[in-house]
Amino acid sequence: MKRLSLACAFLAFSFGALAADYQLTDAQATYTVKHLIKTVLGTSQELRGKMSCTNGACEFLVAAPVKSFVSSDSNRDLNMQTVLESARYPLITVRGKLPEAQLGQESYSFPARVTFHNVEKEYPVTVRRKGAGGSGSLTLKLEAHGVERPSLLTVAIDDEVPVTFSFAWKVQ
Amino acid sequence: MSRFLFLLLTTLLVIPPAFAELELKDLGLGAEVVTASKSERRAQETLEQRHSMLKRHEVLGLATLGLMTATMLTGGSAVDSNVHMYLGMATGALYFTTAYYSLTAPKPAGIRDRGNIVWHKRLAWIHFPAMVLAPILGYMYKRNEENDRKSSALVKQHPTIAGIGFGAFALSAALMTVEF
Repeated sequence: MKRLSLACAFLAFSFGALAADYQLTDAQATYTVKHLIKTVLGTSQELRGKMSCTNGACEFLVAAPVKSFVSSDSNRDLNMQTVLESARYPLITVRGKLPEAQLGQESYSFPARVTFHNVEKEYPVTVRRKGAGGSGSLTLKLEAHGVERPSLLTVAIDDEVPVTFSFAWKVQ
Repeated sequence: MSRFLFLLLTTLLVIPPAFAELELKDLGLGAEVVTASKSERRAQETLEQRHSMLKRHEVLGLATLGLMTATMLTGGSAVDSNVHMYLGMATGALYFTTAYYSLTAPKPAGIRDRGNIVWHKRLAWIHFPAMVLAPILGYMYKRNEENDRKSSALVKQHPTIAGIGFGAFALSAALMTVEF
């Protein structure tokens, strides 16, 4: 009986004792689209995310609805939704894993898997810590995700779309 | 001891194992958010049709602006040659075709205009009447000149009305291409 208790205690410890779940709060992401004659920003504040840390390793998942990105022009937002086929692929998700120890560092980098336009690609992400969260950036490549670059005056927008973000984690 | 064991087993059952990958349902996002419904697919088709029509509106609008500029530049020789008149007719035809693609493009319900598009549309209240009035006044002015008749004060305003229409149209096009 004593052995069984010890085994159970070990299993509980290894599965759950070091586990912590965090919920994303105060998050926003902004994309920057560059064109020969203009630069456009679009921001979403409807990000949802969760991070799970177990035994010194953290895994996170963040999702944002495509429609939630708003720029300074409603017509452009509709064009963006058309090009990204928002009705077919309504979500952009970012997931990744990183050592829990990194979260305490001033600045850290890790690979993130971004599913955008139903195509998953890996991008390096850099985060600068600020309180319980931080801010960072990654640069998406539209054609890598099968997105046909929209054009204005026959000139297509840049393939690279930098995305900056800020966030905070709240213990669940 | 049995209570201790019960607590441990309950903990094991309740806490998910470390290897379980996070899923969208963990974020409170169900299948209805991820999978496109019939109405969403229809909405996408509407967006695509709108996009295609507005793309034509853009191209035709820029062609109209080019022709309109040429028409304005040839205004001085309007009485001596027919170039200004023909350019004006071509501009008018392109202008109303451009307007057709804008006015008939489907728009998803519940979308409120915001940003430069608001002024792009407001300016149509200036250039549209000007584009109706300017050719009529121009035709009357040319006929009066050819028949040595005196034009009325309104007819004489043809260049002014055309100029206002041109200015409003050029500004409207600029609003959609340059970020102010």
